[in-house]
Amino acid sequence: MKQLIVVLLLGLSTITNAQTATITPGTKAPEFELKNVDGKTVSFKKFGNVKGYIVVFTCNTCPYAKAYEQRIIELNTKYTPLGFPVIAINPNDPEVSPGDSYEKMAERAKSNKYEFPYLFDEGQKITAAYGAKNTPHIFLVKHTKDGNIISYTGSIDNDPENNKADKTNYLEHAIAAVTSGKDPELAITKAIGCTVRRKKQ
Amino acid sequence: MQYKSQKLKVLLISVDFKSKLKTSVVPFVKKHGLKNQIFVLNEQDQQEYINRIDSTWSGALPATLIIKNQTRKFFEKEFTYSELVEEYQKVK
Repeated sequence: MKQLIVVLLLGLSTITNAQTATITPGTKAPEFELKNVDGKTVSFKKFGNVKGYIVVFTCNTCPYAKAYEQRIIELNTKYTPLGFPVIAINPNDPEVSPGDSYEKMAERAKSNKYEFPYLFDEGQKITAAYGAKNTPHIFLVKHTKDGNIISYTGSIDNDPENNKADKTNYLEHAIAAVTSGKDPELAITKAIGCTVRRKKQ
Repeated sequence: MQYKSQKLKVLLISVDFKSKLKTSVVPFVKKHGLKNQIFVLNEQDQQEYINRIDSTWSGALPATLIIKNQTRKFFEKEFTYSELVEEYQKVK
């Protein structure tokens, strides 16, 4: 007997297709100059003397991004003094996802008191350069004499809902390793989240 | 409905948070009048279950798995209805 099953894994938002390979740890972090919600242009160079950067592709609209928003704010508070400031980039096309327009980004950054840049990726070029898959998608970058190198990609932790007693903070472990001059034991994880919203090809 | 005679079953799996079952998932199902069998994922470790579903899956939603006899085809993309029907019909 013929048997066929179609399984659909869904979040509660509608999402579109996107396929570029995620950049791997050990390779150079693509440079960017993107417009921040305050109107100023932000690049790695603007930060001066740092040990690295926590680059996070996140957005206004995805339930997973919203679930991690407070943790991203706290990461910036904790790690900026330790030399790893947060840089948030919104990877979505606002024509497909109107809630991710530059204006809506500025509103959210203001009302939720972001103390880190929240950058608009015009044309989704930087999103493609990093191969960001979904929101939120983390890229830990370390600053070296040879430039900015990707150290870790994936999720912040293994607890999107933030209610596990025994959660593993992948990102914090990776930062600790980089700070002590080592490579993270776990340099790549997968991240559940909403696919980057792009126009249909 | 269209493919009922072919013994096709379309299962929907919500990967939303378990705590949102009553506040988000159930209202969504009612609003859209869904008659499918619907599950809410109850897994502990995303690193493990993502690979168990398909090793090529990055974790991005939505994702679709078509299973027929011994064939499994996995898609990490959004489908229109006609695109989904086309992929379904390609699986022999």
